[in-house]
Amino acid sequence: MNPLLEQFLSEAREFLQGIGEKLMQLEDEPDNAELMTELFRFVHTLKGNSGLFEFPEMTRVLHAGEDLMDAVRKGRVGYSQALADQLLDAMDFVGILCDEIDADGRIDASRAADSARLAKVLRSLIVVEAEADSTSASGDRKPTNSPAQQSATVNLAQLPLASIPELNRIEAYRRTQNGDALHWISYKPIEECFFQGDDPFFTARQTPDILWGNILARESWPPLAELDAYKCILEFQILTAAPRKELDEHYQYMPDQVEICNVDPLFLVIPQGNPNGGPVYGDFIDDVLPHLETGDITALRIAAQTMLELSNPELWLSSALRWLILLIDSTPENTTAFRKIIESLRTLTSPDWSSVNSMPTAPAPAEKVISANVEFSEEKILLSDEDAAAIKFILAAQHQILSFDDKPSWLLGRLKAVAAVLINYCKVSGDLNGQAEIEEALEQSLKATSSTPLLTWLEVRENEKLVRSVESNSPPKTATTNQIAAPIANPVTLVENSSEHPVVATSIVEGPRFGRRAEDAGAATSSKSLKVDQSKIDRLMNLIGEMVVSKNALPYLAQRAEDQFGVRELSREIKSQYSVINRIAEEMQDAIMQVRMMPVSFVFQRFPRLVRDISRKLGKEVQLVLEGEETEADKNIIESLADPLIHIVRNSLDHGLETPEARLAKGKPATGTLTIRAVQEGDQALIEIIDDGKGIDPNIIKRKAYEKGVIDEATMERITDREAINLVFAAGFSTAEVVSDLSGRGVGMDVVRTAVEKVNGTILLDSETGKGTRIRISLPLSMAVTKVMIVESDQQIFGVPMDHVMETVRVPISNIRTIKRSKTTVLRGNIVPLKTLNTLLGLSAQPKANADDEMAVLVVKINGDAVGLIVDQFRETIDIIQKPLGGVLSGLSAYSGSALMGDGSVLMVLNVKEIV
Amino acid sequence: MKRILIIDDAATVRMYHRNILESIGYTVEEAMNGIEALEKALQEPFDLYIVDVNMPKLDGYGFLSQLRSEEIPQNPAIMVSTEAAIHDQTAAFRAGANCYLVKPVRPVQLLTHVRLLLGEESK
Repeated sequence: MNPLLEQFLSEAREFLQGIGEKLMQLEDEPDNAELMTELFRFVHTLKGNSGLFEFPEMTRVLHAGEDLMDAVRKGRVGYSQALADQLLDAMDFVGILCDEIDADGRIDASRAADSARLAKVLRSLIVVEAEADSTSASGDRKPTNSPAQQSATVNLAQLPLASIPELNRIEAYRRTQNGDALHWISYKPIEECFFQGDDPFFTARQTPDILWGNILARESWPPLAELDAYKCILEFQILTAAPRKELDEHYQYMPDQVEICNVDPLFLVIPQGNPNGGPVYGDFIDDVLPHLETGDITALRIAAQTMLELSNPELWLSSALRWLILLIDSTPENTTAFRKIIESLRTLTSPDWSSVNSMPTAPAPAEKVISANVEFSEEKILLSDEDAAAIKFILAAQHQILSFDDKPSWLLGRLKAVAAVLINYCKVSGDLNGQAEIEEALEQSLKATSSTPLLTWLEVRENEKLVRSVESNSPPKTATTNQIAAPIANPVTLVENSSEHPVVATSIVEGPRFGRRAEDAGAATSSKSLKVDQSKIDRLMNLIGEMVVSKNALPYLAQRAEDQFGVRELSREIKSQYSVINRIAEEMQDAIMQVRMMPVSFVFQRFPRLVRDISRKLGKEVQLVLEGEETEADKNIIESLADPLIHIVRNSLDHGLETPEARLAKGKPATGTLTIRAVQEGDQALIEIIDDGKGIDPNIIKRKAYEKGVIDEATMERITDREAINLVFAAGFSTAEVVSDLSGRGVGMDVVRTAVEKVNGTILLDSETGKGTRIRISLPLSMAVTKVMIVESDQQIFGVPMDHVMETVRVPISNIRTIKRSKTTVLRGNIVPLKTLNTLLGLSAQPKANADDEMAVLVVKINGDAVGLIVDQFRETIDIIQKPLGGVLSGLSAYSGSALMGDGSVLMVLNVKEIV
Repeated sequence: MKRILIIDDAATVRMYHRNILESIGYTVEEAMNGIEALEKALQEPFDLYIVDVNMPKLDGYGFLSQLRSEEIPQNPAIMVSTEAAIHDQTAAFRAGANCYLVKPVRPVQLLTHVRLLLGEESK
């Protein structure tokens, strides 16, 4: 997968996690503004990230979520549980999409409908509230900024003016001769405008003094099946002769959705028509240009008129001539414009008006020139214009910055930065004197703590360029939007070789250095933690495992050196060297183990949401208490713990805790408490799940177990209450009277027990009827290395995990009694049942007693009870890396695994629980 | 080579920008928030800053205004945001940005603006 996508997915999951957590926290403190801001930031950033990819299904939902959170954050929409539910749903959906992308690299097309639905639901939450608001305070929707502030240097050449029929354009041009200003309006209603009671078509139609209008889709229409008819993706384009003030007033409630820009009438001069014809134009041009030189406008007009009458009106030429005549009639002094039109006949391309000032009318009041919306139109620019547009954009920005009249404490720094940008601009445009001039202006600006000197430089600059490009003696009278565009009208150095850009763009995405950089990026940004692929750590684990085993060969070697070769000196040296290697290996093992450790919070963090959802569903009130989340254990153990814990928690909520009414009836507080606690005890991690619910009645369990054939009648009579309730862990046991949606699907607690035992853990249940239930799970901190005691029986050696070993004792044969056909003995006043390992393993040999007639008894703990295993001999304890049995051997439940010994022999490790 | 600091709390965005900029050989460093960025800039000022708006600890506006208050060479800064609204842009300029781009920034668009702000002719 593309590393950028990988990064995105991993970060997206973190954000989703974070969003879930924050929502949970908000539930407790809905007024916490900081939490709200944080939550908004998560959604916002996630949306931003998703925008880098083509995942419209995801972005749409996140965008709606972001808008909703923004509304909440700003107090426009109140936070509610319903809102949190919807948002959680949406985030779950995004999580699913992430998984899908992860698995298939794309989002299934079927998701589009869900995405649209979720987005709509989220948006409806905004709308509903907003409507409620507007009834209470209708003044709220008063615009904060009128469209007037949005005046933009939209490049007129980019407007689709050519799509306006010539007749309308001529009509519009004529209107300007009456002193009316022309305005281009691009009105893009927000997608959910219909929900806000807007009628965009009506609004557009009601625009004063419309000369021409057009409606188009902002994006390509989705397939009919996915079309959301309630989503407005229209853009209205309007050409109007109404004054700006009227337009601003008309669109005052939607300033963000409207772009209004002043249209220079010259830009309407776009000849159109059939380009056939040819040489005759050349003659015509040569004929009329002298008239222009001599200033004989009348002769020019006559020539044009004659030519027009001779030509087919459908021709491009005719269109150009009609415009020429119109221009001559309206502005007889604008010879530059005439020349442009005449010269356009050579190439049959529309004249470029961006460097020509329309002489006759000066309708635009000197609006502040800022480039707000160049961004919108920029997409339409051809690549070759990218530089020009960027320069224009950047210069306009510096102009705006210098025009601020605030004086913040960082003003001087701001001025210096602008100067740096301007100097760089001079470098690009090949202006050699510019730098010195700017530095001088900057010095003056700094001295006066005012931006004026720099601003003056910039404005003088713009005017100079303008004068040069217009090639006219008359200086411009007003600053119109064209002027900003002017400096870039002829930048020789800028537009060249942009054609290489597409190459750059593609090489970025799949560049060969990509992968390496991805790792660098991770290292550079988080110096404190490092993300490492788990397989790398697993490899380290395997290596250290092999090392531990090989190191164990050294003592054997030392023994042989002494016994076989009689070199005691060498033997001693080997032994001392061994102890060094042993220490290093142990530390190394410990260090690697540390790397694999992770806090139980990894699992715990799911519970707030889980408990909330389930208890809501069951109509129960539950307070969840989490303790000891920082307790650490091996990653594998933590991960294998997740499912059993969830199962237990579900059980507690479903069967354990009562409804509020039932609780109150029993004199308990209505809200039940579920505590999940983790502590480290020695090399065990202990996890307790405690509820104060109705507890488990041992009699019911006994009866059920008997009915289901889990125990026989004799056992039912004999077992203690504690043993009885632990029967819930027996296979095929489910006590629920009604099989509910949440638990009791037939898979009982035995699944939980199996999962826990798989990682060498134990599980124990305590309960007091009416008071509550406590489940204790103890787990090894690490499963990588197992300490085993080696025992000998029938001339074979076996390993017994030290986790199970309570003690080793020698019991005189005389102290072994037989009760109910079972061997027992008394240890420190407690009766301990005894079992012979040989019998358990099906070995026929009798256990051997030692010279003093004592049996070797290994006392092991099984489910909290002590059991004595009679073996022949105890040996040492060693650390082993236990490997699961493979192939046909994996069916041997008596063994949990095998390990390689230092001398190369194989040690079978007993699964004590299974055999006893 | 020109050094550029990318300041964004989203690792994905940082990686995206980094890949674009490194593809034509800029030296890129990253910061996850304004505080971290300020520390890096004070150690050795960068030739250009690409700043996100919304960040924990210290946001883009805060970072820029503090950067502009420092007695160090003041170099151009681009603010990138998902907001296209005009008042967001104005706020960015007031804080000390020299350029305002809307996310997601197209590669060519980013490179063009970066190159021009750094005063480099097209390569």
